[in-house]
Amino acid sequence: MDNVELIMQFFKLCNLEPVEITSGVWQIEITTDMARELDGYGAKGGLFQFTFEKELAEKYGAELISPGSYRLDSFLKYIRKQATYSTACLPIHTFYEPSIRTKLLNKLAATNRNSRFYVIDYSYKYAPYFMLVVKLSYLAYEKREKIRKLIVDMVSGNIINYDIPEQLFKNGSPDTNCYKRKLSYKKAYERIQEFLTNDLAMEDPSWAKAAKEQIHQDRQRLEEYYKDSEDDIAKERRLQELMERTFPRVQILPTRAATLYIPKLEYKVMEANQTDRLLNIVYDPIANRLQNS
Amino acid sequence: MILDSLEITVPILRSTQTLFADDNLEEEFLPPIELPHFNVEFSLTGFKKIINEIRKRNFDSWEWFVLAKKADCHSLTQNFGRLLCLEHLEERWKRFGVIPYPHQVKTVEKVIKELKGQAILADEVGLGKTIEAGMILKEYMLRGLVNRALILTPASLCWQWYQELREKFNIVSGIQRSEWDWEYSDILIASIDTAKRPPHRDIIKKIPYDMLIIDEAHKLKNSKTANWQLINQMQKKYCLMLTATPIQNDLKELFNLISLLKPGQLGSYRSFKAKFVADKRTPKNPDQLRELLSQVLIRNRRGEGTVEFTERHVQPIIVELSSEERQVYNQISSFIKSIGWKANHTNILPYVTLQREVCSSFYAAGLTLQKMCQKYGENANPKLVELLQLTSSLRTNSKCDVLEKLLRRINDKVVVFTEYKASQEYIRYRLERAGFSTLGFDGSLSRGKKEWIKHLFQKSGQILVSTESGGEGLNLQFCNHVVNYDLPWNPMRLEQRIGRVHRLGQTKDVHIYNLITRGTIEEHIMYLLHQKINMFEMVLGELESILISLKLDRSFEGLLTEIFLRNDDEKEIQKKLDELGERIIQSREEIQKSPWEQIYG
Repeated sequence: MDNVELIMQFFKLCNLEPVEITSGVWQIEITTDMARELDGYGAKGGLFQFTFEKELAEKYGAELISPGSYRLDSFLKYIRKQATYSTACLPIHTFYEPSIRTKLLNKLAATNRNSRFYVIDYSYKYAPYFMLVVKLSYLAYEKREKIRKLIVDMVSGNIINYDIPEQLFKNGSPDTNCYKRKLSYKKAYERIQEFLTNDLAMEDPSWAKAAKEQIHQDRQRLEEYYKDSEDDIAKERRLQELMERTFPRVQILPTRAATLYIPKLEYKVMEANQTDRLLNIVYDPIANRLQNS
Repeated sequence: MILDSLEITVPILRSTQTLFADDNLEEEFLPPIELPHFNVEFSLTGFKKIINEIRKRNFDSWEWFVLAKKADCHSLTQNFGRLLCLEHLEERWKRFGVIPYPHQVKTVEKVIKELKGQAILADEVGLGKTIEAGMILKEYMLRGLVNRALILTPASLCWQWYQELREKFNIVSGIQRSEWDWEYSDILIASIDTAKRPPHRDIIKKIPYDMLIIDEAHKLKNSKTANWQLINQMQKKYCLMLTATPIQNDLKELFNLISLLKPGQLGSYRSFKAKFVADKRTPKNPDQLRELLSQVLIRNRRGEGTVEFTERHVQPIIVELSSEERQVYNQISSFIKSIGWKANHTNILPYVTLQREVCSSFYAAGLTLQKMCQKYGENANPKLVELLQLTSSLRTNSKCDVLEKLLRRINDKVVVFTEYKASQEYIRYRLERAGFSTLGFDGSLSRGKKEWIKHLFQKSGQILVSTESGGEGLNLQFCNHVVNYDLPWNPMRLEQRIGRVHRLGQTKDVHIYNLITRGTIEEHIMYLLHQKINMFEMVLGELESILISLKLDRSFEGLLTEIFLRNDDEKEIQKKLDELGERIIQSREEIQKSPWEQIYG
């Protein structure tokens, strides 16, 4: 999503509709409340003209919304304060059930060639997943950040290590027909911690190695300076300061979370063999996994 | 425009203002997990915040969630590849006429990328060290690396720093007034002399600052002083020291300064002395020393592709008083001399003001005399009443006559500066009567009105008559003629007047016209500033550093007041002014003849 889309979506969600007064220059009336949120307590509402192009900003005196600009930053700050927690649901009709059924029967047939399988009945139930968005800050002499989202199955406790497109989800949660959550949020966070730590341990540590080398040099410098001094307290303080400031670390800050409801399909399948058998099979369309219930 | 017809319902959004409280909470982390090369720290605060929202059943819509997540991605800090502050401040700078010069941008980049936020900014005067420091602070703030900063400066510069940060960098700071301010202001400006005294000193030592900026850092040259001890004991992540003269007398000063910033950069003092000191003013191994210094010190010089200022042309215009005016001037001056210095200190101020006003305009002096007479009522000194009568009987004003002629000759945009509002009103009245179109600018105007008048002056104005207080923070690079209708007794204020016009961004040579009334105090001041110390030819900011290095025991104004009021004899005044001028010249030479340039690199 680029800046234009982001800002326009923001106005749309605020039920505001910018008017394009001339090609590329937009105008909107913002309330005093919003103006205060953007520019501080002294700001007043009124007509606000903006553009995403530098030339147009200079020509018409409209406010420029571009990467790094004050105005984009103020909008971003405002938007980021919203939606710490949300719920969403992946509607069942996202999946084409007949093809899932075929896939299921084929899979069963492949595992047991002596039997024949018939679907007697099928239903679906929504399973809760906890999605946590975290900001990873890589800190040493410099700082770099990245965003990751992690999804925990709140029934099985497994971490889902693949992306589900956000646009497929619909707002809200299903009223009924849900699996009961078996995992506490605290436990879910612990699973995430475990998963992320393992993941980070596999990452390229060259940034941390470089920082440690630099720290070693800075330490030597301090040792040299305090060589003739008896002020051990000052030396310790300086060393501690150095470590606090530069020791390589990754800080993980949860920024927002959502409970996602994803349907699981439950099939009653008759296995026709010398002795007939009724199987209860749960199919997870996200993991593409069959499971005996 | 068309929006009146739209019915707008705005959903209730979370206020950034109310959530600031949460943001300011100290981030709480779980015990770090140690990996072979780095630690991993998981935040508890962020998770608790989410759980609170779940408990309160504060569910936001999925659309907002997706948008907020995108905004998170847009706000990520990356490595210092490009400076964020340049784009962030572009519009603001356009509004305030700030132009970041290439040497400034280069300095900021070097401090952030190579020196890791610890540097001595030692640019020559007038090259914009404050702008560089402001950019560095803003850059770190935008990247979320600095939340708490302290700016230590001489008391006289606190307000200037406050304004610069607010106007040029959109950084809201506080000026330290009480001991409570240390802990409650995120960005605080304070006097270094206050900071070093108890109880402030003990409070400051406990606060972990993300960034410490020290202006006029040459005051930290002696490691035995309270100033040095304080800075040495402070907790600071990043530190900037601003000084045009990192060493003044002794190489040890340099060692002390750098040891505050990066202890060990020059080794221990013993090894520094052995390696780099031939005698206290002569460095040994200058190449090696320069190399070490370049890792902590940046010095930009004029004429190295930095800033090229246009020239200043100064023209003193001598005004001859009429016999009536001369009589009034002499009588008022001798009255003040007879009364003024005998009065105790609390009462002397009105007389000093009167003496200065009479140099500016008889109208301003008349108004003050009137106020003095009204204040004392029937007990008023009969001489005061007589002087008031004399002043109000004046029907001519030679200075204004000369001003009118001068403005006709210039025939361009002109800024006329005066010290007094009364003089300003009188000048405007006279000029309007003579057919000039004038605009008035003074400290009582609101910010909006000031902007409007500046805009009018730029677009269609002819003459702007401004008082000094009105001119503060005003940028008038589009005009290149300045008339000093009267001369302030403080040369820094004169420098500030000229600085409104002769600043970065001025493309033409600047013409300065000083109206000097013959045989008055103005003539003495002009002699001192123009003939003796040649102040108008000094480079921007040079005068300030000279006055600081002079270490006067009182203000420059106070010094002049004493000379003028204590001495009756003109020759005696001249002698005293010569002595003062000599001190200034000597100080300037010392600054210019710095033997240290070879080691700055």
